[in-house]
Amino acid sequence: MPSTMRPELAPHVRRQIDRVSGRPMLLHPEGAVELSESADAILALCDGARGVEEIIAALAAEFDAPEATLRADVESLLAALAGRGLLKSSS
Amino acid sequence: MSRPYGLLAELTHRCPLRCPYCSNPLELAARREELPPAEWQRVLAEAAALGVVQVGFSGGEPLLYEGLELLIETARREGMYSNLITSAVGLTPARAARLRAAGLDAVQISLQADEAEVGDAVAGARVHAAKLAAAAAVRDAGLPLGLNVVLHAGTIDRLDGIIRLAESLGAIRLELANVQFYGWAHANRAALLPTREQVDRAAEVVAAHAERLGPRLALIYVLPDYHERRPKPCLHGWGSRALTVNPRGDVLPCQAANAIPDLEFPNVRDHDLAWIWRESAAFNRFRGFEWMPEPCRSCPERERDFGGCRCQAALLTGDATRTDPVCEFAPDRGLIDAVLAAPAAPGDWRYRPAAGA
Repeated sequence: MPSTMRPELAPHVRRQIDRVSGRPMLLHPEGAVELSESADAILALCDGARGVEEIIAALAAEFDAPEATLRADVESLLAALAGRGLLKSSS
Repeated sequence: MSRPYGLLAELTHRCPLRCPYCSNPLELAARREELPPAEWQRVLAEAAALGVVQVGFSGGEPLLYEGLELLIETARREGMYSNLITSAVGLTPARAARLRAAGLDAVQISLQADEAEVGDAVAGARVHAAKLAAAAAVRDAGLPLGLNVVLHAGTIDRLDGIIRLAESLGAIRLELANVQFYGWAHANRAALLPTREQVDRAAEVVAAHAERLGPRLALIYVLPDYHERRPKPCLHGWGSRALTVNPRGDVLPCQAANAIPDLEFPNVRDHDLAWIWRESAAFNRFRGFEWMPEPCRSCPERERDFGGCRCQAALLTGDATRTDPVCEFAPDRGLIDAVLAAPAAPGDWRYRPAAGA
């Protein structure tokens, strides 16, 4: 995961609050992915403008968690989404 | 009981194509039987309230249904992700732009082959060139493009060309679906069934391309179940995650459920979708494990494959409660082996009619 990239969901992916469960969810042509609150908070910051370092800094300002933990969460989430083709490929 | 996530909305059985493996039932609905748009709007609202987040507008050819854009708008307003599952005949740049403006999220175009001569022969219509133009129109409209190809004896050896074509069209996903033998495909089984050598080679071709392409073009390979030893976990279990509403308004746990003769499917004109999902006899018939006979009932695999496909059991044995004959432990596996051993008749199929007009 290059730390210079500015991650963003692919254009065919929609993030929304699920009407039935009230929980965050990603929708894409293949189906739906239920998101944890922390994954949702990370994705809210993935706007194609912020770099990974800025995302981690913003999370650190908002949540009371060690930076190493936040970094690991961000990197594993982005790797998982990229592996499923759910992130915009070039940024 | 779980909620449904997906709704397949079969708006019409009318279609300009005549593919011999069509997933529509042998008894096609006529135009006058089709649900009007206002009924569909109510169905979409009920589906969203029940938990559906994905709707596939399908057919037949959904572009022939007047009111498609209105239904896409409704789906979007209800918070559902909408996918158009189309032959792409009639999908001009102007129509693609209108669909996008209505709120469509994604398009899936069927291709029959990688070359016009073969594709047109399978479709029973001159459509291949128009499909390629429509794929470009979809991309130009800014819509994500998926492609779907049904693989059978006549096309499975063309996988390499098919995958390269999908790549050149800028698709983000390509569904390579080995033909499943229901309805029209079942009637044309001898003409469509690939050999063991063909399916083994196909698996190698897909694996090599998947490795090369990575996530930039997702290859979804649907296994040829007659050649497998274990049944497919059909729909993750009966009445578990998805439902289909056909053009007449009948609600089915799966597109092929018409194969089960003794089940009466509820209709959206008589009941709301929540009742149909939760209470109807048809949706409860094969939920859980109680209905299972041996060898499924005591088999640890039942948690994974749910005894396979009820429609296939009904179609092949006449009894929907029997173990899917594809399973190596099924008492009826001999039925599948006999089909595999029978002489093939590649290309000698009966087309479905371009029906229901």
